[in-house]
Amino acid sequence: MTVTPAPLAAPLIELRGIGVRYQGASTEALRGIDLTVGHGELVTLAGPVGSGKSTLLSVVGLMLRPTTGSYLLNGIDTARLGDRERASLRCRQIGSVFQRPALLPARSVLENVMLPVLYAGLARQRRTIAALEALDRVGMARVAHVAARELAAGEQQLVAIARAIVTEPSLLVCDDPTADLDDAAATKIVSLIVGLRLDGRTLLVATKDQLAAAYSSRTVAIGAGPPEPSGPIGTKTTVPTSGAWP
Amino acid sequence: MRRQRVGQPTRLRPGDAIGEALAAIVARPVPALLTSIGTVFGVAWFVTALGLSSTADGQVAVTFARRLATQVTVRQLRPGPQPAAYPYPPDVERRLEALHGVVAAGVSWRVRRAQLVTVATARRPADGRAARAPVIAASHGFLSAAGVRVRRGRAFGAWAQAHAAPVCLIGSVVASALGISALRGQPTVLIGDQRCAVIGIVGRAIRRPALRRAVLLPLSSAAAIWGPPDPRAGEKPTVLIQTRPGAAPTVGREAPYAISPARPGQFGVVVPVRPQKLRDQVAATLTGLFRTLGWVGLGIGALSIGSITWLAVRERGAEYGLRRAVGARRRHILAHVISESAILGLIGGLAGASFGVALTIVLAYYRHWVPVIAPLTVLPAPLAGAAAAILASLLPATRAARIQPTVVLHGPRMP
Repeated sequence: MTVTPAPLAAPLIELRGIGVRYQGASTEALRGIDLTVGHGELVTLAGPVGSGKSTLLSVVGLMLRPTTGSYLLNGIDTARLGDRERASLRCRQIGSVFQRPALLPARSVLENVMLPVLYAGLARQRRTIAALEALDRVGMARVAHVAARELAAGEQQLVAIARAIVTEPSLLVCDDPTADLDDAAATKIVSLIVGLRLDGRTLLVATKDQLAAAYSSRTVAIGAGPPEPSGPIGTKTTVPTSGAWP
Repeated sequence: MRRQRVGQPTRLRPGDAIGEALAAIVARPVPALLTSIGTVFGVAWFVTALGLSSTADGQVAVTFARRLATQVTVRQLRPGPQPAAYPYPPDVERRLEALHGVVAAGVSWRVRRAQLVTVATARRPADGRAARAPVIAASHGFLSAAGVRVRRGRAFGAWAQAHAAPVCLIGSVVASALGISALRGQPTVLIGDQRCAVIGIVGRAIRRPALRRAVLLPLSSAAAIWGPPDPRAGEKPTVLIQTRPGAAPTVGREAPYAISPARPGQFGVVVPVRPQKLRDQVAATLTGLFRTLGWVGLGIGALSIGSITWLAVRERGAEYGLRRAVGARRRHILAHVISESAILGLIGGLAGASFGVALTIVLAYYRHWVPVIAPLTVLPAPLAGAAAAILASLLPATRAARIQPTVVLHGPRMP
């Protein structure tokens, strides 16, 4: 059965009572998270180290199944999705940018960016075109044939963003993409993220970068204070977490 | 709970899986080389063992054919029209050699009236060592049929036979016992009180190794010295026929008719039983041994690939996590690991088969064997390498497929 996408008025992300307990852990990494993100929003997640931001992004990015709670993505109950459907959504609907660029160091920049479209079933020529367009979008087309390990950290993160957007996903989850970068590189990444929002994408970004927070629709603080419902755009929302990290 | 479908599932075309595997191998050649070394050695061992098996099988056949199935002996069993002392026609060798499949034929008997051989020289006839050795009266054809190889000097020929020349050949063992190592001093031996000039030393006698311990004289010389063979003394002339491989049974049936068409029944023929069963058993044992060694080698190669792939999967956990994070399904990771192992196994199999063939040829060369390598052994060897690699990588591939996408966040850095 093909699920009919929810109307645009409906939120893209709806988290209700999300909790995560890693296998073997005594405490929960996340507990009772409620969060709603609408289409086209840029929401930043803030919180101390170990507060569960990365875990929450893993849940939203369909890389991790929550232990409790429900997660509706564009109206689709993700708990009902099998591995095949989750992989399809990770490939086509969700782009992920990690704290570390996580590139295949010995492969070329182009090959790295082509990785998601490899599984999207596109022919090689179309894959190459899509990857070059994505690289052009982040300003890295000139190094398409350079091995990823030869790039600076900031450049690698730009390539990672190109990889995340190569399948034109509607949702981009970014886990502290400016963490290990100098100010100039971080500013470039932030401006790129803001630009991606202007393209109509929804972004959920965990970051300590004040500039990114300033451009966001709202900032959600993780791991501080009692649970509160998601607020309107431009407001600060606090959601609780146990703070445990595996 | 009903599952929801979300668009098309992600897919990995076989060509893309192979392309990714090749790209991964090219990107990380050293680990790839280490992985395929196990296959190289395993397949090389496998091909060498099977090649040696075929070679040994052929060698066993050649050895049996050379030693046992190429000689026929004929002797008189019942009295015939010819005198009992020498029951064969004068042209017996020519008659037999006219038969199809006969290489050489000749007559011999053991002179039982002469045994003690004493060395003597022209200057000091009494100075000598003595040796007890059988004396054989032999025709020139017998020397050929027995495979006599003269180490020094020459064999006696038609002239010595025609003139009953007092010449002899001595076996190498007798020569050593008598202290004769060279023929330059024209040594002579005393057989009883008969003096014979030594014209050659027998180094080998392929079909009658005992001749190395004997003294051989022409038939006419022995008859002139001791008289014709005495059947009552056990001096029974015997015909030895050397045949081509496989012709012995036919020659054995035809020989009595060639010698005496009128009374073939007076001769008894001994054709060595072709020990097919024994030969087959020896060959089967050798083949089984080598094949077992071959499969063991291939198994060790597979284990090597499996263990290295296991380590590689552990090392590349972040890569597989990343692939899962961007849309790869478990089966795609399985395909990545297996196709990479299969290609490495194929490459290692090709190299190993080449090494194996070369090693078989070198070993056979040094053993003076004819290398026999069945194409059915060599051609599928690379595929066997790939198959072994696939089997060995199943477990690591399953492990890789279980890696969660979140490994890319928390796991090790990309190798």
